[in-house]
Amino acid sequence: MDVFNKWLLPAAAVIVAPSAYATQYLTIEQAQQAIFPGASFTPAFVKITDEQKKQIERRTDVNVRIREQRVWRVSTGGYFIVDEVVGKHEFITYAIGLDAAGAVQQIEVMDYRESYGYEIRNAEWRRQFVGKHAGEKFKLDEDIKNISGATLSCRHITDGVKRVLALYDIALK
Amino acid sequence: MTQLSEIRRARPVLGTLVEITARGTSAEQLAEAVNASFTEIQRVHDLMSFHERGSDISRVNRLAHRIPVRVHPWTWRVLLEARNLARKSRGAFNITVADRLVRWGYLPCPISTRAAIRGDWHDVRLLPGHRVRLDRRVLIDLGGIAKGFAVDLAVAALQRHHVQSGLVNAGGDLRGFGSRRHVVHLRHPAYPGVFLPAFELDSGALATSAAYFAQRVWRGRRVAPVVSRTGRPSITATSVTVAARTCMRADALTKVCLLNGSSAARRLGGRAFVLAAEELSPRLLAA
Repeated sequence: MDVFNKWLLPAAAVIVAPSAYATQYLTIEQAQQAIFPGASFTPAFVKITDEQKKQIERRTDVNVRIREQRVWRVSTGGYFIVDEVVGKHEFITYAIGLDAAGAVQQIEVMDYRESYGYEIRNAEWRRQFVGKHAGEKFKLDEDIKNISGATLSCRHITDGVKRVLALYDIALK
Repeated sequence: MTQLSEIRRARPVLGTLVEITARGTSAEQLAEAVNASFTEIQRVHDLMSFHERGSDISRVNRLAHRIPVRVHPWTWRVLLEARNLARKSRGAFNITVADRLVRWGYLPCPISTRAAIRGDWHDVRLLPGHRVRLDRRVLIDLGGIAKGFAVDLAVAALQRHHVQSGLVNAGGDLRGFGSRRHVVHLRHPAYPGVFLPAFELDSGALATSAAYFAQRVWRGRRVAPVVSRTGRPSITATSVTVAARTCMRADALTKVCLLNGSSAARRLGGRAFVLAAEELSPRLLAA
């Protein structure tokens, strides 16, 4: 098994990604079935009042951005909750499954989006990448699946989960 | 010819997003395999996290300078590998630099006393019965090796569940297996939102170390979470990728490569590639 000979793609064609990397792992229905297979789900969305927002923020020290939390009651017990977190460059939609006792059973990321605001489509900005290597082309790459390189920490999701658990305590239990 | 199903899932664990791609003939079996893999990864997190009070590592950091602490066989395996690599890299790979990471704000301080940390990796003693003893007080952090270890376990779990090909990616430390080629992109070191297609991987592991998200300023100085043997932060504007047979080895060797150079990494089973800020594809660093 000689893995090393296959390492490098030809450098002649240089492909640069669009400025927003986005990937979807699961739709809501798929996430529901992934966490609670075979169950049925009854919508029980929560409109967060000003008082509840204050309570959650005081308890968790995390900002409440979403004023309507998408919650479903699970037929077999527990709750399925969709939440969103926003970081400096990333936007993540994810699902939390809570068991009948209100403990986190499973978390599944549904959508992951990044945005850096680079002017990829701006010819002026792109010029710094092309013109330095012979034979190179510039294309917009839509098919990024595997990235090696330190990614962002999941601190925002951790904060989100804290916030959702406080909401459960205050509005759902 | 049976059509292969593919599933891709991501969960927050090990302090990052872990992504699993799995291909096989039964969608149900794939879901089961992926669940089993994530369960193993979560176990590694619970055992080796610096941040969890009940983890093996936290118990060692708090108690092992006074009494031997028994750890899980997985923790033991990682500590053994860490010690071997520390010895062979003359300390470039060092799991006891956590005191500096705490000082520079990368890790919270886990011990309530302001007791001086005087020990080094030599002070980590591995005793029979999976027990760990510290000759002098140190702070162990497995952040530079545990993700790779978790990825290897996850791949093994997928294979035990008859997954034909796939890839596990823990925040950029990744390993592929099976006959399908995976294209791996690297972030541009100066523009992390730009991705460059860099490698084609079927089986083997890659780990990349780059400072784009991790550099910060501490007391007016720029610091990074890679610590040289003299205790200083290693600041670099390049991205270094190491390829190795296992992800645990690739993960650990990125540090060896950054501090000791590519030939040191090569002697320990890794091939190093560097992507400089002014380049668009990585270069293999030959001896």
